[in-house]
Order: sequence, then structure tokens, then C-alpha cells
Amino acid sequence: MPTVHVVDDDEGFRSATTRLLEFAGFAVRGYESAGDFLLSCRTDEPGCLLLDIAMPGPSGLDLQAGLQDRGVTLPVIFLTGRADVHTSVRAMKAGAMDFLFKPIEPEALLDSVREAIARDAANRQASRARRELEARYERLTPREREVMAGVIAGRLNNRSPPTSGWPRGR
Amino acid sequence: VVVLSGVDASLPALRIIDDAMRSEIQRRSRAPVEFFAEAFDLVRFSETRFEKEAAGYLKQKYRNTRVHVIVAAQTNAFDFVRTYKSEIWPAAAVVFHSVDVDALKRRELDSLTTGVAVDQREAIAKTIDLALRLRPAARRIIVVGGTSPIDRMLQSFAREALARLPASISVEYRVDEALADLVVAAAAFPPDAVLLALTVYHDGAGELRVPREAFAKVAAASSIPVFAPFETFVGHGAVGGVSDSFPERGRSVGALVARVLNGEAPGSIVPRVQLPPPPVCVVDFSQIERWGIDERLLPSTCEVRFRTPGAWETHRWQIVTAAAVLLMQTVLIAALVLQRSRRRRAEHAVERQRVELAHAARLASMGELTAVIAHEVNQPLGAIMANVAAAEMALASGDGNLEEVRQILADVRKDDKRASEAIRRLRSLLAKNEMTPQRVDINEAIQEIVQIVAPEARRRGIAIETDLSESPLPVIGDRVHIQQVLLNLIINAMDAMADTPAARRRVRVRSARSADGGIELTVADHGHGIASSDMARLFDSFFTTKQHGMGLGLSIARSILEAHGGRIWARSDGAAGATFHVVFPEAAPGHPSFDAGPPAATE
Repeated sequence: MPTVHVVDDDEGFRSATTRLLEFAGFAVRGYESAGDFLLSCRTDEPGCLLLDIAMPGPSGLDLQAGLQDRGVTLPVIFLTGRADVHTSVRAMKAGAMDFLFKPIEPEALLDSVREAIARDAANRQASRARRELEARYERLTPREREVMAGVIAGRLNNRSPPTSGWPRGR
Repeated sequence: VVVLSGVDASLPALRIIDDAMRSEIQRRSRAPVEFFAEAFDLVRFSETRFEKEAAGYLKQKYRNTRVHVIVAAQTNAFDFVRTYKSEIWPAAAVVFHSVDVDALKRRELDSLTTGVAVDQREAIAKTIDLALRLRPAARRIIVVGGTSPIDRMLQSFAREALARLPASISVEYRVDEALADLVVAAAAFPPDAVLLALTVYHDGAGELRVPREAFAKVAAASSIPVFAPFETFVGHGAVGGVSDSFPERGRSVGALVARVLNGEAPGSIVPRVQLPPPPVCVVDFSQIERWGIDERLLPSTCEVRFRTPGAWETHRWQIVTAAAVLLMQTVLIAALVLQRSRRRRAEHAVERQRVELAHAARLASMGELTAVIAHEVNQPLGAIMANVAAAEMALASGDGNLEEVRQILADVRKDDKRASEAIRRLRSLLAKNEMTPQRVDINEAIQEIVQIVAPEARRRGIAIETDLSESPLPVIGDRVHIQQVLLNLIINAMDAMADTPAARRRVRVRSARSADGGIELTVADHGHGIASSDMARLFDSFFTTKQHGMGLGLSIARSILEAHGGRIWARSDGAAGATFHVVFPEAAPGHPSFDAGPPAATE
């Protein structure tokens, strides 16, 4: 079950948003600060992140950057109380899913969350496929990898010359 | 000249006549004149035996004195002279006066006799006319008088005149009573009456009287206005009357005596019997006022005596001087008032400008805090919107979880209150108000401002720490202006820390009682500090180190502090930051605003 993580220092807003998302059928967890989230969140679970920008301590943007550094791919939807072009551009460039201004139309929020979760699912699907591929590749012997490289280059697999360690014309 | 009076020579009328006569004689006579005065009061002492003895006495007295003229005053004296002159002063001429014309008709005049007659009919009749004219509502005339022959004669003149009055006016005579009774009666005379006072030489009780004194007693007691045909009564209680002028009469007599002394034979003087000038109207202004008589009713020929002299007549120079002084003072005061009002206008204009400027600066400061409005208002609005949507879903789901909905509504209400509270705080800062001094707790003011600035601080990654005294710190001042100073200092502090490492971005606001009894608050930052070259100009208008600063914040802060009797100064800690100190005088407990409780919420 995907979880929506709401990080906002404003208790009123956080609880209202949590409640809304729960009624809409999502599993929701709220956090008062970026630090709270980092401490208690299991980032390998599916879901998405609703992130307030202005918070005491690390800001929403700081958290986004930190998560990227750790390779966490949870889609991020930014929530902010003020329109600030500079900040929103920075956030979008850093890969934010969406940038919503408070007060947010509930439908728009829900749409955005659904989209984020769908993307997360797709992301996870893609990364799972890729991880499987990588695992298979890992299992190849060096020679098999050479052949694979030759096949990818368009040669017949029995014609692939050894590149190293193998005497020519064996 | 021997002046022989048939009445008491000290009678006022007689003395006036006598004085006028003597000065007229002295003036006209070519030779010096010597006067002898004899008074026998023959009116009151009218026994023949006494007259004979008096004549003998005079004969003895003047046997060695050459007498040219005998002035006989009054009918009694004239009769006495006519009877005894041949014995006493056979050669002397006789000049009479104050003898009634009727009496003269019955007496023959010898060649040595001339004189001035008197006709009191006219005076009495005109006095009655005057009385009725001045008291148009009068329906009754009360006549008071005495019992002596002269008294009776005057009463007969009055009867003649009163007989001609219309029947609507009744007449009452009180002429046979003792003076004391008359005085008592006078106090209760009916208000529709007027009193005509004639002479009382002899009252009903047989007492001898001085007419003017008797009159004055009656007039003082009288409940109604009193009129009298004697000039001498005016000033002693009479409203007025028409009478012969005694000085005129005296001058007429004097002129006649002088002519005789200068050689004219009395028998050749034409006319032998002269008449005094016509009687004149005299009124007492104080009596006119006393009885409320309309002044316009007075005949134009009337002489008004004792008119209260106007202040102008009596104190002309004092008034002129006082007026001049007053005028100078007025001009001076006007000039001072003008100057004062100009100064106040100027002060007012300055105050207004200060308020305007402070407001503009406040708006500018708030402009820097755009995050404030967004955060403070949008946050609760966003929460409300989400809650409402959640409630809709709860209701639509139909599982009837009313408790959940109730909880949502409670949250909605809470957020709504939060939004309106934020707006109230902001609006009080954004509003343009006159200075309204009230009791302000510095700690409360700080907390409110920190709340307002918090979102912006958060946006900039700055922590605002407060270290406030535990007890309230009351000052008297304008809450908004005090908060403006704080706002300015905090924004400046935040601006100064743009390049400060995140961990050190802290603004520290402290409040405490200062050592010298004031209330001190400090705003300290870890910014770039203040260059020593800038220190001196820090609080000057239009001095700024910010790229887009107006250079007004601190100068306005200082002017606000000055208006509150406080001080503001800065200390740079070099690269470690800067600290601004603000000191307010503490509100004295006796200050009227002090006990007024917490200040009312500013609209």
C-alpha cells in the first residue's frame, strides 16, 4: 500500500491534509519537520512526499536535495504559502513532481497525489526491471559478457573474438 | 441792605435765593454793599405781640446804621415791613420777593417799594400734569400738606388745578394729620396713586416743621412716587416737579436791589412788581429709575438731575488709559496666540508627517515580509479547505461518522480564528494611526512582532530567539509605533545575516529593566556588523547600506523613541554582528493610562 508522507510544520494544515488524504483512501503519515521524516521514514516503501518549503530547520528544498543524494526516488510535491518564482524553478529543476500553492484545491491535491503515486509505481516497476537485468548481467562470466557486448554490436555470437586473455584463432 | 426773612432763614429755598441775590447785588452794585440778615420765622411765630417786640428790637439795633434797602422775603416779612418800616427804617427802600401775586393785589405799594412776586399756581398745576404724564396709569392723586397759612394757600392752588382734572381721577387730601401719622400712612398708599407733596410748615399735630425735612420723611416712607412743586425737594425723594427756579428768583431780586442801590427810585421802576422766569421742570433720575418710569415720557424741557454719570463721564482718562493698555495687551496676546497656533500647526504638520512617514516605512517593511501575509493567512485557509473537503467525503461516504465531522468542524473554526487573528495583527501594523499613548507591555509587543516576523525568518532560515523578563514591562506609548521600531530592528538584523552561515543565523531579542530604571530591549544579530565609518550616520535619514533600502527605518525608529522619551543606539561587535539597544522610560504607576488595564485591541 503506497503511503503519502506529509511534511509540514503547521499542525493545522498538516492534520487537515492528512485527514483529507485518508478519506480519499490513502495511507498517510505526517511529520513536523524534515528531520522527523528522515528519522522515521522507510524510504523504500512506495508512496509520495508532500513537502512544505518554509519550515524551521532544513527547508523542503534541503530535504529534497538530501533525499536525492541518498538515491531516494519518492516523488515530491511541494506545498507553499507563497508564490516565489525562484524557489519554484529550483524545485522543479531538482525534479519535483508538482508545486502547489496554499490554499490548495482538494481535487488538485488529490489528482497530484494520485499522479505522484502512479509515477512512483512506474518508477519502482522500472527500477525493479532494471535491477533484475543488472542481476542477470552480474551472473554472466567474463566471456559471456564479451559475447553479449559483441551481440549488442551486431556480430554473430560464435564469431565474437576474444578481447583479452584468449588466444586468437582458437 | 437788611435782608429780613419771614421764615426760618436756614430754609433751603431761602438760602438758595439769598445766595443768588447777594452775589447778583455784589456784581451789579457800583458801591460796596453790606448785608444784615434778620429772620423772625413769622410763619411759625405769628403773634402780634412778638412782632411788636421784634420791631422794637430792630429799631434799637439799627438806630445808628444807615440802611438803604430792606429785602423782605416772604409775605409775612413784607407785611411786617409794611407795618413797622416807618418806625424802624423810614427812609429805606423795600424790595420784596416770594410774595404771592394774589397777596400783592390786596396790598398797596408805596413809592419806595418794588419787588418780585411769585405765582405758585402755575408750578403746582404743571407739577400735577407732570405727575400724571409720568404715571399714566395713576387713578388717584393724594395731596399731603400742613396747616399753616402758607401750607393752606398752596393747598388752595392745588385744589384749583385738581378741580380741572377729569372725573376718572380722584383726589384725596391728607393735610390735617400729624407728620408721624402721615409717614405711616404713606407706606400703604395704593399703587394706582401718585403723591403731590406741598409744604408742611405746621403739621396737623401743631408741630412746627422744616418743609423739606417733613417732605423727606414722607417721601422715604411712600409706597408711591412723590411729586412736589419745589426744586429743593428734588434730590430728597421727589420724582420731580415743576417749580420756580430759586437761583433765578434770587438773581431777579438781586438785580432789582442793585438798581435801587445804584440810584433808581423804586417807584419809577417798571414794572413795579416783577415776575420771576416761568417755572421749570426738574426730575430726579434715580427716582425715575426707582419707580420704573419710562424715560421717554419725560418732557424734553425737563432738567434731569442725578443721572448716574456714565463711566465715560467720570473716568474718561482712566478708561482711555485702560483701553490703551488693554489694546496693547490684546495685540500682544493676539500675536502670541497667532505665533502659538502657527507653531502648533507646524508641530501638528510635523507630527502628521512623522505618522505618514512611519506608516510608509511600516508598509515598506511589511513589503519585505510578503511571506508573512502568505504564510499567516494561506496556511489556515489551506487547512480549512482540506478539512472541508474531508468533511464532505465523510458525509458522502454515508457511514455517519458524526464525531469525525464534529472534530473537523472544530479544526475549521480553530484555523479560521487563526487566520483572522493574523489579519488583525497585520492590520494594526498596516493601519495609519495617530499616536495614541497607552500602557503597552514591551514583552507582549515583542511576542506579537516575533509572531509576525516568524514566517519570514523561517523562509530565510533564521531563528528568532526571545529572552524576555518574567514580569511585564509597562511603558506608556503607541503600541504600533513601538512595534514598528522592533520590526525594523529585527528586519535589519535578518538582512544583515544574508551571508551568515546557516548555523549562526540567529536574532536574539531581549527585554529587561535597565540599571537606570528604564526598560531596555536589545536586538542582536550575527550579521556583518556596522562599519565604524557608518556608525555616526546610522540614524540619519536616507542613510542606508542596503541595496534597495530607503534609509528611513532607523531614523524613524529614533524619532519614535524621541517621541516616547526614550533612546536608541547601536553597538557593533565587528564581524560577530551588531546589537541595537532601545530604552523606554518605565510607565509610572501613577500614570493615568497605567491602571487602565491592558490596552484595547487596536482596530
